[in-house]
Amino acid sequence: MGRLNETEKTMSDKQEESRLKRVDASSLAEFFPVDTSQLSAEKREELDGRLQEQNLELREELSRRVIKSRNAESDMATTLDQVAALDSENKLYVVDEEFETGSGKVKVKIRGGDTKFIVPILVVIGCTILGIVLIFALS
Amino acid sequence: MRTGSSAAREEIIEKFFSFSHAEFSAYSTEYGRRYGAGARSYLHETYSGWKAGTIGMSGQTCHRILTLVPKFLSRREQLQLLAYFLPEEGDYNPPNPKTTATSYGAYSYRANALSQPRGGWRTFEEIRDLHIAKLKNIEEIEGHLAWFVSDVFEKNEVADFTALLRHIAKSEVIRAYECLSADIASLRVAISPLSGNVPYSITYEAYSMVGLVASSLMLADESPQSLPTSAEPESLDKEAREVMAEILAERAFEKRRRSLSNQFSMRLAIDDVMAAYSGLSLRHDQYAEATVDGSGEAGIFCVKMSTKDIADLRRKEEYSKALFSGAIALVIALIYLGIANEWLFLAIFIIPPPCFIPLCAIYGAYQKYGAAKRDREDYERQTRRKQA
Repeated sequence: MGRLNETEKTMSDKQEESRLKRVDASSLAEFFPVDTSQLSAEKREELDGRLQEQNLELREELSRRVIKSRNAESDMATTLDQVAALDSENKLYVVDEEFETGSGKVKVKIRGGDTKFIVPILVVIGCTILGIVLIFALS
Repeated sequence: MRTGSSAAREEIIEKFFSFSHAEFSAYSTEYGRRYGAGARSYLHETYSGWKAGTIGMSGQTCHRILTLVPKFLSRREQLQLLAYFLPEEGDYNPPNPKTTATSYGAYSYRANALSQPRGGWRTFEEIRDLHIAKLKNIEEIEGHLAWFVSDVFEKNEVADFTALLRHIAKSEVIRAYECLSADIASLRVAISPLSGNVPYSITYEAYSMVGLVASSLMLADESPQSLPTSAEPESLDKEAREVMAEILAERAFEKRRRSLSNQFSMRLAIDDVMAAYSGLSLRHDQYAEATVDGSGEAGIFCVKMSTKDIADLRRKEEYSKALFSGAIALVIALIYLGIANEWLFLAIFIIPPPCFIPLCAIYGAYQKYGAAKRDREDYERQTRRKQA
């Protein structure tokens, strides 16, 4: 189901990993312009420690979100397969599902089935209306 | 500029109530010199009551007291108070999700769009221009530093801090633009190579872009260009630079967290888009639509995609055409019967304002027919473009 291929995924995961590993106060300038050479040694040390903690929190959060995304993806695939297997003869169906992912949500709406069987119904309704008008007009 | 006055005020009150005996003594002497002996004795009488919260402080007294406190703080504490007056993320940071979506919008590109946002589609060039305009605005705005700054710091220092605030504000704008560019680049890279027949639109809450799988060049032509960088003021003294570096490092620390989390979020969102796209590209006999709400570094975005069954579209067009013709025929028949048989109640069809009822019905049916026809033509045009 439309995921990044495994090689790409492994590569990007490795990049993310290395980014989370190589961390000290000087890397902060990457996120907001700050001249870390002006910081005192104590402050740098304190920030380094806090950055390691931040990394741990991030790892935990990211793993949780990956699991959530994979679950949602699997649910979505199951739903789409079920819809594909529906018996649509003389039936109309609408599937409206929402999946919570690690990044946000995915809403899927599918409308399908045999629309041709409505035609005779519409013709009958139309004829009935015209018939009533004519009866009323001629009486 | 936005000021964090209430937070700074709370901090100053806290400092005031934690004065040492010597500090309080020096403070009260200056207070008495400025506001008179009566005010000074009132300060001595009520200080403990204010501190305990048993006596309330009037507005005038509070202002007098707080204005004087920063003068008695250490240089470092004075500098740290400036952190409350640095511009926050979003102050200069388009997009503003709540307002910008409808405020801007000039470029319209309907042909490939599933639906056009209310503000219209935007090109990347326009987005860049908006950011450049923001940078110019920041340069032109007069800096409004807090009331205590001018009392505490020298004129040249105030000028330096104003320059620093501008530098931070500009950095925020540049960062916002870079994040947006990174998001768009990620989406483009992820979506462009996919083959298939699923039209899609990408909408940011503030900025909108539109693309079609078969015409991804449109996105490629609009590669974001970088904005001019902002130079940091260099005239601050060593201590001021150290305190400012600490304040900015704290800010960078928070931004790092959000940024890494959002970058990861974007990758997950792209996975979601691709999963939804794959699911939809298999639907040939159904109307199917998927909406992926995700978040990237620049904020929240929405990718909408849908597949339509061409036979269903043609059928809908035929139905609406029949409905439109039927409505005209029915109204004409009723008018004719009314006139021929002198049925006055049917004559209302030709007298205003009742005649607006059938006219509205005909107009509604015509609109429906027009929409169905446009949908079918758009879809056929997209398919032809893809085949070409």
